[in-house]
Amino acid sequence: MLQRHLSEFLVALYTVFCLGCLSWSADSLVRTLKHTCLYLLSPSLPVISQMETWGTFGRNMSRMIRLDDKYRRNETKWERDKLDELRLAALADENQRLSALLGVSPFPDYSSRASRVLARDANDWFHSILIQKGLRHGVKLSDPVLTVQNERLALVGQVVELYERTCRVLLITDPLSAVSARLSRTGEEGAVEGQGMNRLVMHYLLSDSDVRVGDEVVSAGLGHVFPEGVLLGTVVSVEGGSDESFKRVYLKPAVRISRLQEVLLLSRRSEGK
Amino acid sequence: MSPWLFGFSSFLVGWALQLVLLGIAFPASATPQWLMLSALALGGMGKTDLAQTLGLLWGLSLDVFGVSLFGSQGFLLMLTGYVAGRASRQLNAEKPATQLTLAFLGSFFFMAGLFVLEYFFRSLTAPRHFSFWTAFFEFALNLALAPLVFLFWRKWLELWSRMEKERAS
Repeated sequence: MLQRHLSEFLVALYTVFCLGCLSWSADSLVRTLKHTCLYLLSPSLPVISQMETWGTFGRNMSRMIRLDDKYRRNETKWERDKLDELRLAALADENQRLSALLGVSPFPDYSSRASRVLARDANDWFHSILIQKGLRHGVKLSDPVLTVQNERLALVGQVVELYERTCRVLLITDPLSAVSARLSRTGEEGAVEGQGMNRLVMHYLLSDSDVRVGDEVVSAGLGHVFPEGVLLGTVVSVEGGSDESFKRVYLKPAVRISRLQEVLLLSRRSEGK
Repeated sequence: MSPWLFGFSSFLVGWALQLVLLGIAFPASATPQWLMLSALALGGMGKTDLAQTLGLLWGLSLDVFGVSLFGSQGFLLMLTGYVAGRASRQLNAEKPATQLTLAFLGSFFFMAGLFVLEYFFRSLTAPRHFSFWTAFFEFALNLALAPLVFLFWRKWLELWSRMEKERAS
């Protein structure tokens, strides 16, 4: 009979046992029983702590893998951000330059349009540039080209070749270039020619001219090719003595040709659009 | 093979795997109730006496190492094994639907039973702990692991049967 109802017998026995432990949980007998069970299971304590260590190791490994993945993603993002930073800085610079160009209202007789420098002639770095405006933009031959340097208008050159969408500008540093000029301080007039190699020379200053190193030279506007008062350069040296008719004055151009990125094209209002 | 050896080794295997699961980090500090599922699996496969005995012993071991009242988990796991064993005559424990249903009911019964026992037998001044998310994740983990547990114990029983047959032959 016991065999037939073994399950029921066991469940009743176990129930009595468990309820007894629960009811008399504070009793010393139950506590002794609990401690006995703890003692019997104590060999598994080191295993528990080892499992916890392995578990911690596993957690640390997975954390390391996640951190490594996060690090790689952050590194890629950082590189992208650095590139974006450089791009932003370049854009900010360009923005500033263009704002300076567009912000000027140089001359009432001229209309102006900004243009990007496309290319330089690799054979004569200081002689000509190609800019992004052409026939279809209303550009004419001999139109003056300026730029803004240190918040001042400076003369770059004039259009010598014209194409549909681009044009070539002869720089003032080219030996073929000549501009009527005036000393800003004394008003004395002369002519500035290019010397190549980023240098200008001013001719026809009288031998008793009061020109000094550091004087600014601006365009005189004679011949109505270039507008008046545009900065050409600064005097760096003076040659010629009293026994000569004229002094030769060497100028450093105001325009940093190698840094030229945007220019301002001027057109006479009666001719321009 | 001696049934005592079989029972003892089953107890050790279940306890060892419980320790392994303790080392795995689950959300909300939840842990799957491996031993409860094991008692259900053994009972569901018709091993009523084994299920309720192992349930009692596993439960007492959990009580000893835990903060629950001594005898509470032992009582609940024992009952779980017994009820599953009694129900195994009407159920096919090899079907996943049956396994999931048993896991769901067993989890609910176990958690509710633990709460009730704590309420009635614990001192009124003792704090009562209940975390909804822990309970939720434990439910979910139990349901997810139930088929694996049933499979494991079926293989374990088949292994012992094979060893018995080889020894007998």
